[in-house]
Amino acid sequence: MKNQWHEPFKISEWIKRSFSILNITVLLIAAVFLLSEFRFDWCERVIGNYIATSNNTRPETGIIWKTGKQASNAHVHLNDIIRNQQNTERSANQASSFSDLAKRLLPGQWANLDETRFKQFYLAMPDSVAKKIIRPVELAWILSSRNIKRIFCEGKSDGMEIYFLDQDNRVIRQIDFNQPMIDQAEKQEAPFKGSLNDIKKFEGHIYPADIFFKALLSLPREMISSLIINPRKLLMEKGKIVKAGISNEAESGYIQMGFEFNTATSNGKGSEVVFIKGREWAVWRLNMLLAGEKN
Amino acid sequence: MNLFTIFFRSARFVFYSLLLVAVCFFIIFMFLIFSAAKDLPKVPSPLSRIIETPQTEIFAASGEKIMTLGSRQPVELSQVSPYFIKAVLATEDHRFYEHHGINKLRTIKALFITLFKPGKIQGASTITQQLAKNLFFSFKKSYLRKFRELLIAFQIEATSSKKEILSAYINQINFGAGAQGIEKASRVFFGKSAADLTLGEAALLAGLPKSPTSYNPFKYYDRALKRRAVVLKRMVKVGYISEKQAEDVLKTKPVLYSKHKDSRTGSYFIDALISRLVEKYGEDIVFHGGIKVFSTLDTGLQTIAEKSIKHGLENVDKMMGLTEKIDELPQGALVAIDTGSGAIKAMVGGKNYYTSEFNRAINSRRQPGSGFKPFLYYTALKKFNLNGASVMTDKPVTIHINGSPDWAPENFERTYMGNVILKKALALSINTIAAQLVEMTGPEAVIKTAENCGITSPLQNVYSICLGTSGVTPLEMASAFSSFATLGVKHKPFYIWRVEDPFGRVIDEHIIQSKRVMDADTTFQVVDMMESVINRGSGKIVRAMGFTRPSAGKTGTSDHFHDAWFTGFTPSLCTCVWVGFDKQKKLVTKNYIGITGGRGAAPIWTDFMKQALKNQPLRDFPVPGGIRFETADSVTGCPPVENNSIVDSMKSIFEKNNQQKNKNEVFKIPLKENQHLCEHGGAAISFKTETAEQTGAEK
Repeated sequence: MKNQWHEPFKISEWIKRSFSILNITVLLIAAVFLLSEFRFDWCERVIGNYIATSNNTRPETGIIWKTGKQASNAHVHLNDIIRNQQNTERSANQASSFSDLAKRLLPGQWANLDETRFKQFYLAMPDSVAKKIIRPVELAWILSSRNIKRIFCEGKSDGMEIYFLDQDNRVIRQIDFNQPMIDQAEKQEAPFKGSLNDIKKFEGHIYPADIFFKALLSLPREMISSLIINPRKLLMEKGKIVKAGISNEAESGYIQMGFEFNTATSNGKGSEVVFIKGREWAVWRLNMLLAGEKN
Repeated sequence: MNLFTIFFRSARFVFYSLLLVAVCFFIIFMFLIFSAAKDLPKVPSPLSRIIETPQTEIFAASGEKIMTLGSRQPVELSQVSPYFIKAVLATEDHRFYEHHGINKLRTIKALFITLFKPGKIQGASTITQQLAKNLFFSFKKSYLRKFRELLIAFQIEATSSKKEILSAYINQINFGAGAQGIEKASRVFFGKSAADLTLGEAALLAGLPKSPTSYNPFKYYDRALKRRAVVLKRMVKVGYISEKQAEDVLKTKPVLYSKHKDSRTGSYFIDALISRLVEKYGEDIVFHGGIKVFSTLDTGLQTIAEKSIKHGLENVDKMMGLTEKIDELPQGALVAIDTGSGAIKAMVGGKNYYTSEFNRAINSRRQPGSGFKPFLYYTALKKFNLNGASVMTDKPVTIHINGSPDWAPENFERTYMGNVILKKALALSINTIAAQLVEMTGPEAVIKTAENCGITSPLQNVYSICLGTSGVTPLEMASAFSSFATLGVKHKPFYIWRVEDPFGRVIDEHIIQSKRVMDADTTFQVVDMMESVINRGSGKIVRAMGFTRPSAGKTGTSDHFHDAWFTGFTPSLCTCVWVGFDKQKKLVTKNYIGITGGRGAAPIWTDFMKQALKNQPLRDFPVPGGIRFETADSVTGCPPVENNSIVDSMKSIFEKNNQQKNKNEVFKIPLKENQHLCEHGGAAISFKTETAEQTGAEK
């Protein structure tokens, strides 16, 4: 069956058709749609909630995220600076001498050195180099008579600078520990490849390690610290101590002692002597003890 | 076809067309939402995360906080004056609590006006839309940006409470003058907390975000008040306040916080400090790292310096007969340095930071004129073992230079006084003596001395260097003269004592290194000469103004009166003052008399130093062990004995031959162990080369 649609010919028909159930429904739906949106803002809510669902997967772009990233970059950079600084301090704390410290501090890096360690390094240095750095009398005067807050070491391309600072960060004395000094110190601090018997100045004062240390440890504790000023040097050396010797020469109130280590090399057994300085009076006391043991 | 048919047909057509358009629009809208949603920026949750950027704090030497960078100082809504909340709502979005991100009626109205009223654009952004824009989008206007902003506003509304939105809005909004967020704005403009804002103050602040620059009350107070009136009118209209309240407020004028005004962008000193920090650490750390910077700034001295420059320049304006409305006015700069460390205690880089941010104290290289002579005198004294009593002849001088025209410098007064001792020659700033000295030493040696002392600007290798023809900055002059104050020990100038990370761990600190650059005895002799500049020479206005402390200095005036300088020091503080136009323009009085360093800059220096050292103990310059004092005649350089035959005969010769204008005066002269008065029997030192052939030396 075929329906023939035609336009109404009468007004009544037009009106009838216009207010048909379908038209009224469409109009009502449209009106309800619009009015409810104006009244309840559901459209905004739906869209807002829909967009919120993808929030976690969306990019962190825009001014506020940029600022956040800058803050995070700053945080990372600052942490890097601090970490480097702490590493430098840690590395500096492990140094066994001025030369070692100078090698550990790269240009621009710095570390604080406490007074005791400074004295330890200074006293462990060969006299000829130590005097070049600072005269012992001047050092004694600086450390005792002035308000030294700290000793600050800064690395540079050819060595390091050592600053004695007061509480206002004012440099009271500056020491340039440069490459030639480092070379000189290393040369004299370096262990001797060979045996104690090969060094003339220890002749007649060489003892087996167990006798030497037994005598040493029988001394009062405060005397031991004056005897072996820088024990770290002995601890850092590989191998075992087999002999120890006391030099026949005293220099500026100190006497050198030698410790012979048995070191295993690819060629078989070897030995090297590490030198340490001790205060003259304490070494003499030890020497007397050892002489007694010998007799 | 009858009329009804046409009517109903048209109505049907319109209805279905509209329906179709609506459906199409809806489909397009949905499509846009789906496609745009992928690229929308992520919204932080909770919204308050936006205010978590740590702030960098800058402290003065005393420990007082002088500035925070990148901070918003977030506050809870309960900590903000209700007047401000109401003012913001009335002005920006009075239906804030009713809508869900968009004010539809206002948007339709705005669309209608924008589309159908040419030349008129109506804004309809809600507070949520503004927040979305401020947080995520650039300020570039485009329909797509607007649409994306709208979607983000919907999300913010859907996921955050109105309280959270309003709180985020008022804590991130820009009020200008470096103030972001209501708490900071309140402190910057009124020096009080946001909770204490009065209705008048709150209304003024609420009006600023529309255009923070053009309504900046520090610059355009009247404009800001007019805007405040608009805000109050809106508040009345919306019903937040009564008309009476608005009228009462309109009668009052809020008092701006003048103290905070200067630390807005940090003044010249903080600008310079921030540049150095950025140079070293980069912008991220400086503005977002939350570091603590302990500066060398002495806030007390800084305030005095700013006042001294202001008053001093007003006096110069008066002398010149200039008025702000008509003329370009001269500028000024001042730098004060602690001589014992090199710490920069105060810095003023211009007349008014808010009208010109160009920092003349560190960026403007100007000719120092005679202010450069102390470097020459030190070089000559050191090289030829001269002293303050060494005699030279003030006479017309012509220096022949190979391949260049002769150089014939003249004295300021265009007169010559014949024989004169060096101490008096420096005190009176005699150019012909300086020319003879530079001929003796060569310009290279003078340049070396200046550079050793702290001058870092490139200096031309020419004879006229002795008269200060190469440009230098006030900071360099203050730093270099500090080396004289410490009798030859140089300290590098610096701004920062220490930098710490947010947890107080030190990441950098300044170590005061001293370097001897001049020998103490000779430097003391030059300082003694510079004391006579103040006591009886070109800088005697310092004493006339009542500054009685032991001090030394040197005036400087460049060619054609383009620059007026005075750099001087006490044993503890060295200050340099420069006055001049930014352009090459003469400093002349109403009567066309040139303004010298003594007239233009020295009064500012004196005014500053008098107040800066007010409560400080008196300190004299320390006398080095190898120095002894003797008195000498200013003409002969010999002891001033009445019946000294040599002196008398020398005097008579010069009186006859040179029509001498030099009065005999007695000067106290510091001498080194190997120096004696009258070494040349009262005769002037002469050093004459046929031609000046020093390498590279030009006129």
